[in-house]
Order: sequence, then C-alpha cells, then structure tokens
Amino acid sequence: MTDRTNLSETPPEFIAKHAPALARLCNRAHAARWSVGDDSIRDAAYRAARASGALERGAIDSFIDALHAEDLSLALACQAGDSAPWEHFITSFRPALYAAARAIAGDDSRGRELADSIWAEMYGLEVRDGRRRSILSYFHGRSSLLTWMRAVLAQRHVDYIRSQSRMEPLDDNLERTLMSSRDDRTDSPGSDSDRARYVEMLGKALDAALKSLAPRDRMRMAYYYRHDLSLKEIGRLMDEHESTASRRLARTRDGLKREIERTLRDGDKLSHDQIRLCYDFAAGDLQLDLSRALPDIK
Amino acid sequence: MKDADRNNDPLDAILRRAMRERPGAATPECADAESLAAYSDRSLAAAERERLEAHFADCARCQMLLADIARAEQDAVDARAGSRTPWFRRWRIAIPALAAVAAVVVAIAMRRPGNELQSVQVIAMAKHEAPIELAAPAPAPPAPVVSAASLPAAPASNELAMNEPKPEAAPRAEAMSESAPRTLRRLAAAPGARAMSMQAGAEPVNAGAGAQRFGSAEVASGAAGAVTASDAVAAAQSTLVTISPPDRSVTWFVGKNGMVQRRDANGVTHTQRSGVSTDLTAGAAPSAAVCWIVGRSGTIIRTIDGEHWTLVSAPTTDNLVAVSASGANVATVTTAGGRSFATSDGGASWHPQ
Repeated sequence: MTDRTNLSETPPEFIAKHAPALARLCNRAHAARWSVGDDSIRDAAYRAARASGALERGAIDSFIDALHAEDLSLALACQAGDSAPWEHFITSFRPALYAAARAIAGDDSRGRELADSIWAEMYGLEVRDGRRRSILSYFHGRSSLLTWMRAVLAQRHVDYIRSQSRMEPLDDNLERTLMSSRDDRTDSPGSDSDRARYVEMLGKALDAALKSLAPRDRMRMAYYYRHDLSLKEIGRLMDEHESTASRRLARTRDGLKREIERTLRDGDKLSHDQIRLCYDFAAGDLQLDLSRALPDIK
Repeated sequence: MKDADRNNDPLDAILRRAMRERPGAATPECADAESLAAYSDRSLAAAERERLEAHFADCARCQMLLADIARAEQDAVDARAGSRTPWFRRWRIAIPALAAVAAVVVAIAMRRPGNELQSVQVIAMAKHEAPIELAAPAPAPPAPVVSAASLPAAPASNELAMNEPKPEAAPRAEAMSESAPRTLRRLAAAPGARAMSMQAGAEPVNAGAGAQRFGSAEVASGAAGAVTASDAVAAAQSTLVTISPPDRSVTWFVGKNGMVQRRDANGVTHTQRSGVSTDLTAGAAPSAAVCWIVGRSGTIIRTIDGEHWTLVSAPTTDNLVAVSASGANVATVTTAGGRSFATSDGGASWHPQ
C-alpha cells in the first residue's frame, strides 16, 4: 500500500537557495532504499525548517545539515505504508520502544500498554480524507527517531498521569488531613499563626531566591529535587559531566540557602533562632504547601 | 553533592516539597516532542537551546518530559553496558550470589527438615519478590489451611505484630545473618519485616489452598459483585499478603499487578481499584477504614475510608517491602535495601529513619 503524493509543497526559491545543503541531505538519507524520492526529502526539510522556526531565524544550511537524514527517510517511507520499511522499522525500533516505555512508565504492564498505544498511532489507525494519519508525520528529522519516540512516550505518560490525577481526590484527602492536623493543635492556641507567619516568610524568601537563579541552575535544581534524576542523568541532560552537575548543584543550593537567610535576617529582621524555626516549621508542618505559596514555580 | 544527600538538611526537604507539583497542561510555549527530542539529542543550535531552556526552567511539564526521556536513555545505556559485560565477569558476581542463596536455603532446610514451604519462601525473598515471607513463622507440622481471621493467637495488625516479641522469627534471622548477602541481612533487620511474618504465616502460599479458602467464604455468599470461583482462584494465585486491622473486621488481599481485594465483615470479598499496576508486597491496617499498602518501584497507596485508594507520593523509587502504620497520617515504609522512611502527615513529606 502506497499513498505517497507527488505534489511538492516546497517553494522553488527555497530549493534554489539551499540546493547544496539539500543535495547533501538527499545523499545522506539513502532514500532510494525505501523508494522515497528526493522531492519528498526536500519537502520534509522545508517542513522541518518551517515547523521549527528556522526559516525565520536563518542559518538554514546548518539546520539542514543537522537533520537526521536516514531516520527521516525511513519515517517518510513508513508513513507511505510500504511493507519493507515497516519491517525494518519494527525490527530496528520495537525492542527499544518497549524498553523506553518500561523505563518511563516504571513497570512492565503499564509500559507495554503505553508502547502498544504509540505503536498503533505510528502505524496510523486514524483515517482522514482517505489517508491514514500516522504520528510519524510530526517527525521532521530534527532529532533521532528513537529519541523522538521516547519524547512521544513521555508525553503520553504525562497525559496519563494527569488523567489519573484528575480521578483521584487527593486534594480532598489533603484538606481532610489538614483539618485534622489543625484540630490536633487546638491545645496550643496561637501557634498556628506563628507557624503560618514563619512559613510565609520562608516561602517568600525561597521564591525570591529561586527566581534569582539562572535558568540552567533552576533546571538542575528541578531535575534533582522535583524529578529525582540521578546526577548522571542530570549531567547527560544538561550536557555536562556528572561531577560538574554535582558541583554546580551544591553551589546553587548553598547560594540559595545564603540568599534565603540573608532575606530573613536583613529583610524580615529575624534572629538566628527564628530563622531556624522557619526551616523547622516549613520542613515539618503539613500546613505548609509551598507549591501553593510559590504560584510562580510551574 | 551526591545522590544520597537529598535529604540531609531541612532545606532539602523544603525544596522537594516546594518543587513537588503535578505537571500542568501543555501551553503554547511548551516544546513539541521533536524539540524535546532534539534538545535531548543536543541537535539544536545554541540560540534555540537557550530559548528552550528559558522555558524549561519554569515549566514542570517540559521538565518531566525531559526527565522521562533522560531515564529512558539512561536505561538503554545501562542495558547496553550490561550486555557488553563479559560472561565470566557476570558469573564472578552471580556465582557467589547463588552460593550465598543456596547456603541460606540449606541452612534453613537443615534447621527445619521436611518443610518445603520454608525453602520456597526464602528463595522468593532472595529475589525480592515476596519479602513478606522473610521471617514467616511456618508451623512445624504442615498446617491446615486457615485464614488470618481464624487465627486467634495471631496479632491482629502489622503494627501490633511489630511491637510484639516474635521468638520464632529470631533464630531464622540469625541464620540469615551468618551466610546471607548484605541485602538479605538488611531485609531481615528491616522494621516491618517481622510485621509481615504473621500475615504470611497465616496465609497459604499454595494457590490451590488459597482457592479453597476463597471458595468457602465468597462463592457461597453469591452476593452481587462478590468474587466468583474463577476469580478466587486467580486472586489466590496472585495474592502476596493479607492485611487485617486489630479488630479483624475486614481483610485485604493484595498482590501482583496492583491487585487489591477486601473481604468485609459479612465475608463478602470485592475487588477494589488500587489505581496501580505494580506488585504490592506489604500492608498495614490500623483500622477497618485506614490501610497503607506498599509495593515495587516505590509504590505506596492508602485508603482512609476502606474503599477508595489514592496514590501516595513516595520518598523513593526502590522496591518497598514493609510498612507499619498507626493511623491515616503516620506510617513507616522500608525498602528492599533496608532503608526506612517515616511520614507523619499522610505521605506529604517523608523523613529517612
């Protein structure tokens, strides 16, 4: 089955202006193996440049040279529905896809479920205007095909988590727990307001300190504290060595602490003992929900 | 800063809580799958990379996606590294490990000759599949099949069991400590491990026996929504542990693939939606309404009404093998590696023990 179209959507001036880079791309793509024409490759390159904003930013030739040409031609061939590329695709990527799904979902059965759903979407179960719609049409070769599939898996997984979260009345439970924890403290009148005040001060100081961090430092902190990535994984993601990630993380954290304490000491005029109380209340008191206290941290 | 340093300071706990947030919906600024992938592949030009990082720094959703991609990538790297390891190097680790497991099995078998069940339990525990059987006080003669509720002398909850001396379990833990690998010794010493022993001892590992138990109690009831005979057989096969509160008014059967069933005071068993699909390995029920269950990959679920389960934010992704709880808010969980974490706020925060 082949539903390949021959109508080129690429402006002639784009082809003319970037002819050498496009020729290199076609050469690298080995597209003849899958009976994918050079026109299709050039169209895909144009779509990639348009979708990524590279057309506006310029440096198109280097953008084209960075495209993953072989993966792009394979994706184009699979979208067309030919059997040979599909067999190659399945043989080459299926085990890796299932392994990635397991790693992302955290367990075998959910991972398999996740991978199966993506597999179906890649084949293209939805038919629109008489053509199968494969999510491979969103792949433009800007990354490797495998990493793109991991990203799609991750998106589906996050959407699944969100849909599950909506079904779970966690907030109701939290409210109930909050109420019971407040009830438990009725024997110490006045302590709630003190706690709330200290926690609020620390929350504001922390908020300001986090906002003052450089984006990469904030990312590193988030990967470490929010997403529980290992230092090796953070290093890989941030394109730095594990030990560098570790050193920078420690430096950021220490700087953050200094900044928080400076704000509490100089701005809020708190003593050393009061600052320690801020930490203790914030670390141990359920009444603190810092994610609510810090609405800007999204 | 090391991976193990995440909870050393109050600030670390505060940061974890401050940054804990469910991922939001995608916004127009969020990166598409290919941009995320290209960023991970480092295929982007510097300017584009910086532009995206400015967004990633404050977007929990994009961060979570990148974190998932990084995990998948690291998993693949680890798998490749494992497959490249020469066989003799792998065997150099495997042989002593197998020998240690065999020594444990032989030691226990010699201590209690003729008790096949016990050997099976130790092997299962060594694989961290069913740690509840770690210190199972198997009765000396082959015991008739009885449910937890019909054991008058048994402690009524994990929590109570933890607090009570269990002389039968101690010798086995000692035998373990002489020859078992460090992980097993830690497991034997883990708080809550003994707590599960009562339940494991009360419940049959044998699937057929389990089916008998279900069959007599539930199939005869014939109530709408009750577990059928075939369900009962399947459930018995996948049940890893049973949990009862001190008053024994209800019993939960939990096990593989997130299975949770609740037998009420009338003896009718219903399947409950746990919301998870990982194997569940231990539980504690301080009351008929409150129950905590833990399982593989840091899974923690809790009910506070006896019916509905919610996922609790876990302090670790390690396999959890034991839990003790004294209420809806207070619980301690233990990993297969012997690390324990306690919460006094229903799982909103955890502190290493």
